[in-house]
Amino acid sequence: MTQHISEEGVPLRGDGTPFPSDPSEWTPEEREYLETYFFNGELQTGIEQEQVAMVDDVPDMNEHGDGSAYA
Amino acid sequence: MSDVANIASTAWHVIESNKPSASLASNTCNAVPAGISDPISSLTDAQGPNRLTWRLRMENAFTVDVVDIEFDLRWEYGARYRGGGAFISNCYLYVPTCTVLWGFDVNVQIHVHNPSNAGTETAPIARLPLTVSGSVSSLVNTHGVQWDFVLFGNGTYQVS
Repeated sequence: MTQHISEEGVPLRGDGTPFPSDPSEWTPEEREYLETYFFNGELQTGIEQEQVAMVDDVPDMNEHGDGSAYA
Repeated sequence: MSDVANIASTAWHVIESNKPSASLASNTCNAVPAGISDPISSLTDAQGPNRLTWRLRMENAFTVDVVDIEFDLRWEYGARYRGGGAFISNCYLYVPTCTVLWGFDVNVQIHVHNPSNAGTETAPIARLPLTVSGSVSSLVNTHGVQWDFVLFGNGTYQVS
């Protein structure tokens, strides 16, 4: 049974060795434990911060104003 | 002239195999006047950038953040063409923080949808929809993630 997580975030078996990356090498008990405690979590996805300013008035374009080369 | 176009990228990778994609540095999008040559150089008075930041985070039962990715979306707004309208001269995405622990695989992309005009024919306001989406997979399950944004040339935005 997992007792620790390494500094790199890898779950460790009770003997202190890292779990193998191949789930087929886990025992059913280890799989249940990892599913419950290591892989199970709620995703948080919300907006954290906004720095937003805006234009109060949007003027009309001039028919022959700046950029008139493209008129 | 009231049509709006994106003349830059329409899709790129954001997170590839748990790391910020190299594509981030070279891809941008925009919402500029359509049908003219060199629209970027024709724009004036761009402001900003405005900025939205959000996190994709998962804490497990060990209270360890197994996924912690910060996204930073910026857009330059209020750019004028022939002295009017409000266009988005530049929009880009940063990933300042990206931590993905063992057993997880995260991939995220951004898709830029066709821009449109949310204003009038004489005072266009660029409207630029974006979708940032992907997946957080572990060795035992997969979760889809998606954020839908609409950025406006006047600086405002909508998120869903």
